[in-house]
Amino acid sequence: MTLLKTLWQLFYTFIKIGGFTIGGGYAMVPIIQREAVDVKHWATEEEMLDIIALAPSMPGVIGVNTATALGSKVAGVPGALAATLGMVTPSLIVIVLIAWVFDDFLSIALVQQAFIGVRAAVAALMVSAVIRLAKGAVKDWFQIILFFGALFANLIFGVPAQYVLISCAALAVAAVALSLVRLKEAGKR
Amino acid sequence: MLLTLFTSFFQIGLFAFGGGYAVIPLLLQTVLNHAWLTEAEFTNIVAISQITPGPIAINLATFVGFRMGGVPGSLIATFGVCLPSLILVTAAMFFIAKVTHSKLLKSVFHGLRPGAAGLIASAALGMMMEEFFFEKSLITEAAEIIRSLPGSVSVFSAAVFAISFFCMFKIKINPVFVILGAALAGIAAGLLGWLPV
Repeated sequence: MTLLKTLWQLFYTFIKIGGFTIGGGYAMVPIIQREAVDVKHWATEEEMLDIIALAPSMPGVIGVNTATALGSKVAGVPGALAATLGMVTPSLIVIVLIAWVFDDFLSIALVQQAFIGVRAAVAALMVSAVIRLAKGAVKDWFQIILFFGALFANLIFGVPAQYVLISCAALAVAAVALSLVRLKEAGKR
Repeated sequence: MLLTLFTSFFQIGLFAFGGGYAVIPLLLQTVLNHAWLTEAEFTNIVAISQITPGPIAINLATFVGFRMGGVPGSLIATFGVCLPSLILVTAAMFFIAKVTHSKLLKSVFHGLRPGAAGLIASAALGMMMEEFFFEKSLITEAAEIIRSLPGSVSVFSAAVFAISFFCMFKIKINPVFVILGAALAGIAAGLLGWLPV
């Protein structure tokens, strides 16, 4: 029964983290780190650093990836499932409740006006996210070309995002292989 | 419908490199292509996802899934968006040392990171055009700006945009409070009769 107990612990821990962290993945990682290393002793400091390095190198949400990786380390595939499930359960409950009443809510004139302001703030939020990301992601001439290439291909020519990403990855592999671009050692974001 | 939801969100989960915000351009493209939502509806949902607990991408998937297929839809969309990383991360954990030090993977990410940032920039610019100018063609845009000055949604939106950007980027105020502040600004402008709604 120890496996079941471990799975419950994983599920419960990540429900807490998923349910009380507003603002997404980056806000969660330090909390997961503290809980896993200091409180639950699921991983050593180094193991946790490996997991934190792995999480953004995989597709998907960074907070969820960290949970999945940690769960998998603690209790294999069932552990990965339990941790991931814990992480998404609060979102599922809260968002379904909000989505349920959202249309009625939005038919109030006052709310519509509030959301005119909100949408402008979201655009600002996205722009600051881009700048933050670009600081880590656009560092040499090659990456500058890819950044603007991706931007224009998608915005002006409507090239689907998947094709843009695949092309960027292929170009980078080719450029590194042909030594047009040198990878810097500190691979941090 | 549920199958379309699942395959769409599986694809989004598979191509979302660079964390939660990377989901936004992929999801925007999906909801517009299927005509599931308008751009303004999508932007509203992004705001809700930001100010509620949980990862923003999971919140978005749940919300759009619920809109399209009720509670089953929300479950399918969230499961679909998580599944690719669930499989890949679990597999990668078996040889984590190799994965984190692989040169091939590093070069792939050397290209993926600027690409993902460029796509988010594209989505952000798309949203701005929609909010500020109503139309995306440059000529109607210019005409619209001139016609709508002053006291219009465009001017109000542009002002809120500038102030929000300053608050988040320079003063580092939590986005949750910025969004709530923008909501209050919208209500105030509405009460003062500045907004057409």
